[in-house]
Amino acid sequence: MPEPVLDVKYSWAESPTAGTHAGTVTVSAGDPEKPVVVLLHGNGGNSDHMAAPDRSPGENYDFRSSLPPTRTIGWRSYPGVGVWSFELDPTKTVRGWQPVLNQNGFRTVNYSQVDPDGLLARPVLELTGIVRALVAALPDAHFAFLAHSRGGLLLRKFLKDTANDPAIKGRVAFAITLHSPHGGSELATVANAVNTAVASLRSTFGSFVDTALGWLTDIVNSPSYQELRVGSPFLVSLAQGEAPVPGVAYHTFGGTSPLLTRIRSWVYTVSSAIPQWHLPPFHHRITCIEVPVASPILNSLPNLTPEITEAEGDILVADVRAHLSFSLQHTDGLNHAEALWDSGLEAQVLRILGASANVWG
Amino acid sequence: MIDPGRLDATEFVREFRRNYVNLFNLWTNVDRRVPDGVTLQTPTQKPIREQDLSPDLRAAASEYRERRGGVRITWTKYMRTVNGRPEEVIEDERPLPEESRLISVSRTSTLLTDQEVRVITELVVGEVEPLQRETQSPRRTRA
Repeated sequence: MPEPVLDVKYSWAESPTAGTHAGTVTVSAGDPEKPVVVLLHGNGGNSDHMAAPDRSPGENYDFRSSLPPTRTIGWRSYPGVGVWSFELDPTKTVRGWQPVLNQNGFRTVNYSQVDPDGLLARPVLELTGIVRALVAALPDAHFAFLAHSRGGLLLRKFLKDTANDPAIKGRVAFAITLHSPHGGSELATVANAVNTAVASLRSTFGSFVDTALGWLTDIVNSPSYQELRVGSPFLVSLAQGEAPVPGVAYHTFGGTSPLLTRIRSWVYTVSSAIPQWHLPPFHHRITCIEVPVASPILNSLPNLTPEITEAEGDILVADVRAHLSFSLQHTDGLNHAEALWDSGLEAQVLRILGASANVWG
Repeated sequence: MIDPGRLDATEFVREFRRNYVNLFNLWTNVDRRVPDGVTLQTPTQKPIREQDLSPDLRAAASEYRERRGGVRITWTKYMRTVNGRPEEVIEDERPLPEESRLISVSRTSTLLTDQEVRVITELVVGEVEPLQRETQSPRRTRA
């Protein structure tokens, strides 16, 4: 018998003397024998990241689609020569973690964190308030955390801070992080170089480069991302004295593909420049090609850091920095955003969550 | 380097022929009216002589002729358009030459400012007369 949808009120405070913040999270319906999965989105994100990633963050480019066939524009009075337009790959339909987990019988909790672009201090307090409320409202449930990107650091900080909390102790079964910068991101230290490289692409291809890479420059320049740079005080402090929480299975996933989208160009066919005995004389046709050298768009940036180097990083996080010494480590060939919808990764995580189903019986 | 792909010459000649409209027939037999601003003449009235063509067109024809061992070309149609509209057409009721004999040379010049645009295209169509040896029956080959 599935558990019905449940709204759980929670509160948290920035200090014992400060006022409290209150909110409500919804536990979706699902199998009470399975753990409740708490979803933690990444830097600059919101709950859409884990539910409807096509809405946010987007970036769901279909870069493996075949190029479209030649198109006829029509008869024109002038010869058609050179480039007609530049564009990125079209987007594809994707499905987020929450609907996938729900479909597989898991109850889920998905919420938008406070300070998504700020520092992690307040999101940690908020998560602690939410989990305390959840364990109280669901006394028989165990919990799994599925965290993307910075959400993994939020999770680690929460687990470290509550390791001795009697209300939470023994209730967390899984800590799964997807492409989280546990060892930091070197990209944060070369933000200026990233800005310059993107500006160079923009000057060549125009403003549509901002569509593809505007989010990247926004992220690497944000205070939240600076907190994640390699060797930052936050990361050093987090790692100091950190130990795996007994009873929690840690799994970390890192990605090795900086492939985000191709730059495509529609160019006139040669025949568009040859007049025919027709009025008007030029029959324009365009054909779609992948722009040499500059495409795919992120691969065209200089290999500033492992994060944006093919086979080493996923655009924002290097695979080598996406793991913990005490975690089971998995590497996938995905970019940072694909970790939000890839069906192969979903199958792996479902196997992890389902493999220990007897624990919940 | 952006490569727009290769052009299949045979296919394009076929397309050229498919899209062809005999303007002489259109204006004299169908519309029964030559559009304003157009000068229409037949090659009999105004022969299309290679020496009268612009240097670019002459050079293109001459280079082709040299590469093909001095084939003879008879120019049968001439058109000059400005911004896609015809200004001068020399043509009669004859259709295009057959596929393997068709040749066209053209030249387009453009002028563009924020006040005006002019695209002038000259297009000449001719018939290549194969060399005598090309018209002989194929040599018998050994089995």
